[in-house]
Order: sequence, then C-alpha cells, then structure tokens
Amino acid sequence: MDSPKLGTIETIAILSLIMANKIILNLPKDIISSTGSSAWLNTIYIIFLALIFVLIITKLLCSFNGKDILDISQYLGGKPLQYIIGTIHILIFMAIILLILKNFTTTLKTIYFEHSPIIFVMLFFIVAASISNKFGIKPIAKVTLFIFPLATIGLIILLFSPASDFQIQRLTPIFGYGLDKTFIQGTMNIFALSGLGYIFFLPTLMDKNTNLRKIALFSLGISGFFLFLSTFCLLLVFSFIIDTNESMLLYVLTMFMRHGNLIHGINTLFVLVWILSIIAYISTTFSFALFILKKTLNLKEIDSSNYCICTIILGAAVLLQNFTDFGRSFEYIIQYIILAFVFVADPLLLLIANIKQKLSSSRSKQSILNRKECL
Amino acid sequence: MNNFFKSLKKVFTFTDDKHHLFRYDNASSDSSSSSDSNNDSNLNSNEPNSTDSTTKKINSSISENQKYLEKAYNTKLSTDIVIRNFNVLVQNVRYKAFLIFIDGMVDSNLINDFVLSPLMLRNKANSYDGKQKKLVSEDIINNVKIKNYENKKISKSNLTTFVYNNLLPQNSVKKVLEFSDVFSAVNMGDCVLFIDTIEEAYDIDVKGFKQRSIEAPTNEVVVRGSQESFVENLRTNTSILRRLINNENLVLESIKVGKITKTNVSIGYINGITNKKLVAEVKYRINNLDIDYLISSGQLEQLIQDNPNSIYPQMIATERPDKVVNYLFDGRVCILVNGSPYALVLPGVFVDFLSSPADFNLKYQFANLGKIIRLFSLLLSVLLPGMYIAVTNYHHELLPTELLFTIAASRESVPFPIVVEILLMEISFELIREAGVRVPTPLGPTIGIVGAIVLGDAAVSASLVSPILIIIVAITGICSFAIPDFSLNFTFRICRFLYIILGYLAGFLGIAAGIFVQMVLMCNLKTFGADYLDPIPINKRSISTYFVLPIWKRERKSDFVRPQKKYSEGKISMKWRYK
Amino acid sequence: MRKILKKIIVLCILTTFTFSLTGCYDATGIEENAYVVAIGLDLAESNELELTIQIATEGNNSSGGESSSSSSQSKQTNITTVKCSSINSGISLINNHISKQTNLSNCQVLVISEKLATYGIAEYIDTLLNNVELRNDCSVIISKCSAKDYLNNVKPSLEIFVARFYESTLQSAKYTGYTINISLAKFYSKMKDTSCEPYAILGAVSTESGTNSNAKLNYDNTAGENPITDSDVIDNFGIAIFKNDVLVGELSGLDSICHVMITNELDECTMSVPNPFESGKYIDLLLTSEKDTKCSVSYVNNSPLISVDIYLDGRGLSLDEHIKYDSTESLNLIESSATKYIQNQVSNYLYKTAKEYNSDICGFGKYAISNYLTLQEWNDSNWLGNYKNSFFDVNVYLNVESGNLFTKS
Repeated sequence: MDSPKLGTIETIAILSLIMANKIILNLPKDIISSTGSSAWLNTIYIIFLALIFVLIITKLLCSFNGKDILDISQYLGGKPLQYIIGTIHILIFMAIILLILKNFTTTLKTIYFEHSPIIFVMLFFIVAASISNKFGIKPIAKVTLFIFPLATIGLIILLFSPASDFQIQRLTPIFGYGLDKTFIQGTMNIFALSGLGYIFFLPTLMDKNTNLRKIALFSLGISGFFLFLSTFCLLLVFSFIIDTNESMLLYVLTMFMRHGNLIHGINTLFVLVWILSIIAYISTTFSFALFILKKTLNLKEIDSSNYCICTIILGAAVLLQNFTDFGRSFEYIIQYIILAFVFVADPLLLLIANIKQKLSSSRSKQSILNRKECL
Repeated sequence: MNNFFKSLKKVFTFTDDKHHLFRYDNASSDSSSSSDSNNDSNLNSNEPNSTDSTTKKINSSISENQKYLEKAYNTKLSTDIVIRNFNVLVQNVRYKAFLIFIDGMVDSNLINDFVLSPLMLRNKANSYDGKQKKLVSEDIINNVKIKNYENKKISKSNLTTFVYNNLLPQNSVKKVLEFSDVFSAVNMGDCVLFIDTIEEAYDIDVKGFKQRSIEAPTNEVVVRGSQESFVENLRTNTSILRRLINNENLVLESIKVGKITKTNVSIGYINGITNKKLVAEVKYRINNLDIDYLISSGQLEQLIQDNPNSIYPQMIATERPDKVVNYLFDGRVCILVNGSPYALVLPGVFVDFLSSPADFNLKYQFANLGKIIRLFSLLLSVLLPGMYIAVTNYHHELLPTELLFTIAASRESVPFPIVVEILLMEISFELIREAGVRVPTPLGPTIGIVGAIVLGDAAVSASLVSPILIIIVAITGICSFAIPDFSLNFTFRICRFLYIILGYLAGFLGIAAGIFVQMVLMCNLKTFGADYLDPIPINKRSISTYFVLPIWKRERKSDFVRPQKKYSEGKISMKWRYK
Repeated sequence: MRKILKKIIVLCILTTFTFSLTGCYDATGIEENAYVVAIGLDLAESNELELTIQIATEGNNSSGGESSSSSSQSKQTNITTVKCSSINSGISLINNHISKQTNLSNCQVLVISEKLATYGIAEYIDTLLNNVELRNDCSVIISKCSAKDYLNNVKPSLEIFVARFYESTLQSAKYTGYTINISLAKFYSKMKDTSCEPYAILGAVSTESGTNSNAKLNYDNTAGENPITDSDVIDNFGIAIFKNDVLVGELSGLDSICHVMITNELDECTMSVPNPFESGKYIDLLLTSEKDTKCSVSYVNNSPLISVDIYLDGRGLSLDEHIKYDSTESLNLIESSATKYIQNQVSNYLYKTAKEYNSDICGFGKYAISNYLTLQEWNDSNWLGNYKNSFFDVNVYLNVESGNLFTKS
C-alpha cells in the first residue's frame, strides 16, 4: 500500500522539531563555550549560511521533479552509487539516534533514575519509536504537529521567565573570544542546523503540490529563531555559563524558575514536554532510516527490519555507555561526518547530477518537460 | 526451516500495487442516487439462500397453500398464528379465501372493517359481475329521457387486478408471489390474503402492535433542545426524521440484514449533499454481511466499522433525532435498525464524541465554556491518577512544600504503597459503578452515592487509604462522567489503568511514552475515509470543530466527509444586519 | 509459522515487562524521605567541616486527626550535626544514622558560618550546585554565630511550618530594604562573573548586648546588634561582602538600603532624614524607586570614575504640628535635606566597598565591560583588582509627594 503523503504543515513541523530539539540537547551551551559572549552573533551568522545552503539545494532539487537524493544518485551512478549513498545515510541516521539516546538518557538517569539500569530508560524511547513506526511516517508527522507548539511555548516561557534578571551588559564584549573564533571557527557550529539534511529525502515523501523551498525556508526560519532566542536569553541570564560546563543547561534554568511561593520546582513539567519531543525526534529519524532501507532494497514490508534496527540501536547505545572516552570522540567524529555529508558531499552530488542533466538536455529536448516552476 | 526461508523470501519481494482505502470498487456498481425509499430491487442481489425453501412460489390451490403455511408456522403448537378461512365474493362469484396473521401484531379493527367486511359482505364492488351496464350519457329527445349504457365485460384473467383495484380499501397492499415474502410480511405484522385459483397473495399492512411511544431521551439529556428520542420501531424513527428534515431529497434506503431475522435496516442520507462514494461504501459493507441475526445497532456497528480491534468508537450512536439531522445536513450518513432506539451516524471523528447536543442550540460562548470544561475533564480523567503516582513516587519537587508535608503526614499510617492504594480505590469505584447499573431504579443513585461516600470514609478511618487519594479518585470519577459519549467513557477507563501502570514504572517518562504511542494510534485511525483526529490541523468552519464557532461562521460542511455541496450558509447569513 | 512467531514475541514482551516491574527501581514514596529544609556549614575546632541539617517533622503530628496546637510541646524540626570531610560524605553518614533517606529538594536556606566563610566557600557552593536534588533558588545566609546555633534558634512564632517561616522571613527585604534575598544560583553567578563580586544575607542570633543596645539612626548596625526583644531570636540584617569566595566584610542595615537603591532592587523602604523644620529631629519618608538607577563608568588616569544617578519617590510618613507637606517650599526643604542625607550615605557606602573591602558588589563592572571588544582585553584590564582606585559621583533625585492621609496637622 502506498503510504500517505505528508502535507505542508506536517513537514514544516517535522523539520522544525528536528532542529529545535538540538536546543534541548544542550547545543546552545556548545555554541557559547566556543564563542563566548558573541554567541548570538555567531548564531545569526550560522542562520545566514544555512539560508544560502537551503536556497542552493532547493534550486538543485527542483530541477529533478519529485525525486529525492536516492533517485538522483541512481541517475548519476546507477545502483551501486544508490546503495552507497543509502547505506551511508542509514548509518548516519542510526548514529544520530544513538547519540540522542545516549545524551538524553544519561541526563534523565542522573536526574530521576539513579538506581535504574540505563537500558530500562532507553527501552521506553526505543519501544515507543518502534511501535509508532509500524504505522508509517504520516501519523508520526501528525503527532509532531501536536507536540511542536507545546515544545515551543514551553521553551518561550522558560526562556523569558527570568526576564527580571536579564542584564543586557552580559552580551558585551561584543566579539567574545575574538573575531576568529566567532566567524571562522564558529562555522562548525552550523551542526546546529544539520536537520536540513533531511530535506534531501523529502520530495518522495510529500504531496506533489507542496513547495519544497517554502517548507525549507519556513522551518529554517522557525528553528533559527528559536536557536537565536535560546542562545540570546541564556547569555543574558547567567554569567557563569561562559566558564563552566553544564551537562544540561536548560534544566539548570528550569530549577531557577520561581514565581512566588506556589510556582517553584516545575522543572518536571518541562522535562515531560522535552521527553515527548525527543521521542518524536527519534521516531522521525527512525522512520527516515526505514524509508531509505525500504527504497534502496525495494522491500515490501519493513516490520521485520523495524525490530532488527531497534535491537541494533539499543545494543549499540548500551555499549557506548561503557566506554566514555571512546563515546566522546565518537560523538565528535560523527559530528564531522554529518557536517561533511550534509553540507558538502550531498550538495556536490546534486550539483554534478544537475550538470549531467543540463548536458544531456542540451542534446535532447525532453527534459524541458521535467522542469517545473519551483516558486 | 523451509517455511522460515519462504517467509524471508516474501519479505524481499517487490512492492505491491496500491489498494484503496475503501474496499468498494467504483467500477462495478452504479449507485442510484435518486432511488425511492421503498425500492429495494437492486439491493437484494446478495440475498443468500436461507434454510427455508423460500423460492417456493404460491400455488393456485388454496388448500395446498394453507397446508404449507400451517406446516411452516407450526400452527398446531404456536397458537398466536391465526388462519381465518372465509369466502370472498368477487363479481358475484364466491371463492374460498383465507387470511393469515399473527395475533397481537395486527390491529383487529382494521382487519375487521377494511379487509373482512368489504370482502365478505355483499356490496356494490364485489357484486359487480360485468353484466351491469355502465351509464355513459343521458339525452332528452322529445321529452323522453334516454340513457345510454355501455357493456363492460371482465375476463377471468383480470381477477387479480380486479380484486387489487376494487375490493381492498387499504392504503398499503402489495402483491406477493413467493412464500419468502409472505413470511416476511406476516412476521412484520401484516396480514396476507390468499384467494383460491389466484397464484398471488395480497400483503395488507394492518400493523397494530404495541410499541413504546416517543419519549424524552433518557441518556442524552439536554436542558435546551428537543425532548424527542428514537423508539424501537423503524417506521416511527424514519417518520421523525422526515418531519424534521421536511425535504424530498432525504433518501431512506431499506436493506434486510440477517438470514433468519431479516431485520430491516434503513440508510438515510440527503441527496445532493452526501458524497455518493460514502453511501456506496456503507451499502456495500452492509450488504456483504453473512450473519444469521441482527438485533441491535450496536451489533451492526461492530460489524461494519473500520478497525474492530481499536478501543476507540468510530461511529456516533445517538438516540436524539435532532443530533442525527444536524449531522445529515453536514454530509454524513445515518443508519437506523429496527428494534434499536439508537441511530448510527458515520463517519464519527474524535471531536464529535466530545460535543454535546446542546452545543448547536446555545450561544457559542456558552457552548465553548462547556466544551473547554469537557476537554479539561477528559484530560483529568485519563491522566490524573497516573500523574499523581508519577509525582508522588518520582517527582516530589513538583509539589509545594506544605502539600508535600500534608501528604507525607496523611500517609504515615497507611500500610500500602501508593500504587496499591490507587488500584484498590479505582477498582472499587468501577465495582460500584457496575453494581449501580443493576440496582432497581428507586435505589440506584442512592446506592451509588452512599456506597462511594461510605466506602471512602470508612477506608480513610480504617487507615487503609489516605484522604487525598479519595479526592483524586472522586475527581477522576466525576470527570469521566462529564464525557458525553458512552463508548468513549470506556475507552478512557481502559487508558487510565494503563497510565497508572506506566506512571508507576517510570514516572513522567512512562506517561510521556504512553501519550506519544496513544496519539500515534489515534492519528493512524481512519473511519470511512475520514481521519480520526480531523479537523486538525486546519479548522475549517463547520460544525465539527474543537471549539464551537458562532453560528454565522459555520458556513461549510465538514471537509473530511467530502460532501457534494460545500457551503451550508451564505457568506453573510444574517442579511437583515446589512440591509 | 506466523502464529508461532507471534506467540514467541508476546512471550518476550511479557518477560520484559515482568522484569521491569520487579524493581520499580526508583519509585520512592513521599513518606520514605526525610525532607531537609535547611543546611548549615561550620568550621569545627579541629578545622574540620561541620555539617548541620534541619529536617522537617511537623507533618507527623497531624495524622489521626490531632490538632497541631500541641505542636509547641513537640519538636517541629529535627536538627542533626555531623563532623565530616565534605558535604556529601556528611550527608551519607546522616542517611545511615536516621531512619529515612534525606531529600534536599525542599531546602530553603543555606547557612554558612562567618568563620568558615573567611576561608573561602567556593568548593561548597560548587558541590551544592552540582547536587541534582537541591534547588538552586535557596537563600544563602552568612551567620555571625555558628550555623548550628542559628538553626537551633529558629523558633517561628507566627507560623506553623518552619519551611513557611523561611519563605516569609526572607521576603522581608522587599518592604524594608534592610537586607537582600539572594539565591544560590545568583551567588554562584556573581562569584564566577568577572565584573562583580558576590554578597550574601547576614544573619545572627540576637544577643543580650544587642537587645540592650541603643538604637542607631536608620539601624546602622549589623545583624544581632539590633535592640529588638521577642521570642524570634533569629535576626537577618545587613549584607555580607565577599571578594571572590572569601568573606571580607559586613554591611549594616543602612548600607543595605543604599545597596538596593543602586542595584535597582528597591521596592520600598523607610528612611529617617533630618527634619528641616526642627533641628535634632527626623522625618520618616517612605522611599520607592521612580525609575532605574543610571550608572556609567569612565576612566580618568586609569582609575574608574563611576557616576551614579538615583531616582526616588518619597512619601512623608511622620507628622506633627511642625511638619508641613502642603506647600512647595516646605516640600522642597524636605527634599533638599533628604537628598543631601541620602547622597552622603550612599557615597559613604560606595567608598566603604571600594577602599575598605575592594569588592564591587554593586556590579559596576558590567557598565565598564562595554568599553572592550573581546573578553581577552576585558580580562587583561583586571576590573576587580582595580576597583579600589575608583571614584564616585553620586546624584540623588528625590521627589517628595505629600504625606499619606494628612498634609498638615
């Protein structure tokens, strides 16, 4: 049965949630510790770079009407290239899930589940993701549509609750650790918006009438706005975050929230919303991985592979816990690999495919029919 | 081992062709949209062969017919089947005849006055033998009146038409040729007339059985709204709908379901508004049921719903005609089953189960207040016990300090952990609820309230449970009563227990995982082509919305029904404001 | 084949669930915890850390329907003291000793003795912040006596629960200005900030000498020296000044009022200013903040010149036949007298922090930081070390409105 296609708003919700979840996973802290008090400048710079990137790849994808990167790689290099690209992307997605699981569950375990084994905490995420993937990506997208406003409203409330303690002077000195660290080395921080890599697979998942460029720009706008807001507000609230290293900065902020005698200690409600959005993030990534698997291997049913991949991820996540040093370097390696593939290799592939298409179309006039107005 | 590899192989095959959500295949049948309400000629194509030899045709010999009927109905044992033999006068010739009916189901006066009298007693109609002349005209010639007559002869073959046209002064008479139709007719309360030498029988409608009169609805009470409810008899129900809709485009198609009972089921929709494919799908599903008997609409609901394994109700079951009419105008289809006072409206999406019939009649501000309270009570009834367990076992910092100490103090003498307490009290509450249903009416509500209070109080005094828990369980119970739909109530009672277990297992983590999975299951549910959680994300202006819109904004029909006519109001419905 | 597979899967799921239920590893009921409402840190004679925790037990009296009026006879809290090498080892020993496990999530107050604070408290603050349970909005109090004495003397007369007593008593800063309410997170933030220094609440047990002493104008004395007699012997008054994490000095109640005026934390306070109509007498004014204080920092010969503009609104509280609030001249007289007085006091306070203590607790560094472009330059300028060379230019703009109900008697 052909799975139902995603609509515009659902796709925007998925993409925005994927990128906004990085805020929960302590990404602003990474940005701040690398750039100092100019983190907000760095964020604006990253968003600008991501905007250019989005414009480029939507233009490149547009010329292939409704095809995603797997079809394009098949067009370019035949089945072997499609297999290579598919495998690499499946591994990347699995690694992302692994890292999210590891980070978030260790934090949860520290706060609430001191005595439980880590696999117990991970089991909830994996089982929820596995069950929701039996039904395809459409129900997950709809649920994300419900969760996304909750998460964003919660985030806004959280970020503006210590507004009386904001000191605008904490944004100074303006260039933080220096121009070099803010703009040149700070380009690596575009990892925050690596959720844009999911755009490569969207054309086949969406309805024919949807406009990919509009969707990508909208989601970049929303998630960029929240990234900027969170970095900005976190800078304004605490002065110590530049020197110290917290494992979960937003959680520290929730503990700081106090209004009168009644509203204090409501960090748990925020954690509830964060758990929901992380489960949505894991489910979405998982469904993308299964989608690639189904497409490359041309499978009829993905239920069995659903369970297989779940078990593999669970096992790998538990293994990672035992080798903390290795885990940290693994994280850095994966980060650079994702950056390399999402921002360099895939666009390059698209570019080469576009060039090939232009060359072949100059010989035959058929592909003019394939071109569509992408605006 | 071989089977294992075979199944593996199946997994690695090419993708299958798509198949539609609806099982109904468009090309195979052409639904007639303007069919008459009594026209069932193309719907009985799936009528299977029953155990009786119903294709037996009526004989011309009246004694054979009578013998066959006596055998079929076991008249020697069933004393309420009456066979009245008499002689009928037709064209001044006496024929043998008999009438078969079921005592208690017919109106005797009707039979006496309008069937037996005109047939047995000599009158102008039945003594006409064709030799009389018919006066055509009168002339006056030379002061003499001359009357011109016409000879009218009746041939023998017109006997059946003669009887039908002249001798049966009843408004509903049908000619039947087969015994299956005779059985259906007599079982429904008609009487059937057999005349010697005629190979037809006459099915005369003289129904007069006692039935419940139209009363106020017992289970869906509203303060401001009509106080009529459906009854068991199908014709009465259809008549209520006809009166309310008052338009010729209301179509009520009739289907017989059940091999033995042949229960009459009526499918109602408004021609020109409802999507034809929806009607065709409904008819397809009902026609393809291989069951012996159908007693209530609840059974029919379970047989034709999309996801029988899901705990969510997928059709609205209501006993209020005004609710049904509102939904019919929205483009939905309603099903009435003979013998059941509950009508089914489909498709039923989640938001419909949360709306009360009064929402259409009140101002939108009042209706919205009610809706907000109902949504809030829905959340509380599902999540409150689970959250209480999660907070008191894992997340103590959520409670204000004084409340924390109060709870800790009240729990000092309680021997059980919180989860056992909650399960105890929830189970007792369910027991009281179940028992309260069966207690005779004068005592019913009292037992419920007294039982709950006394039980709770006694449990607290005996230090079996803490007082705060009684409040939690009581609030949960009251909130669950605020849910308007009966079936949805059960759904959330089941969910509540799951959340209690999840909350105890892992606090807010378990509850969040449970919420996520439940929402995915709800988003995945489809009923008759409509998504269960419609009209999200886009709340188009119709009557099925999460918040009640002002009446002048309910312009459209629900989008998920895909009606033929999209708008039910003009852009400006209150024209008097702008003139 | 499928049916057998299904059965195997169901069996696996059931076993997983039964195993998960065999522990419910982290579910601890409310009654299984002992809730700590206050932590005290002392330096014992043997130079060891002495940890005191105050556990709330008042809840125990209310079970079985007994009224809590008998609570005056039974103890409301349980105070346990232990000598240890670090906070966590001390808590661990206490956990072993008492019948329930301690839970720090309702801790309202952290009391550190003066003696310990003079040696530096950074490691304790860091450790406590690292604790998952402890909410970082608990207040930090430096007590002049030992923390143990402080906690032992907490006997609330107007409240039933000790937790509520702590909550209300520390809110008094809002309407008196004689102390400030600072939380652990803010203390830590100021400690790590390179542009300001931390400060804490000063508390003490009222002594005989204090109770019998004379009242100074505007209570220009620190905690424990106030001439007030009642059963609440705990006195939170004044500010404890830190340099980095070491206690360097104390400020009186009057200094504290000046501090809140400068740092925009003034809600309202009552101040006695010299009476222009009668010498030797004083007028009480209710002061509120009209708008935010404006500060700016500039450099003169490498020394910071800090100018402070304070905007206040005042209302006359005291009234007698000599005091008039009805005419503009009398109001102007009162204004000028009050302005001069307040200016004087604020100046004294600022020079005290700079010259005597070299501690920028008002946070003027944040106005200076905007003159630099990178953090490296700022760190090189060494603001905190250079603060002692600062000069101050204080301007107070006071606007006195009339009296409360009467303008003239």
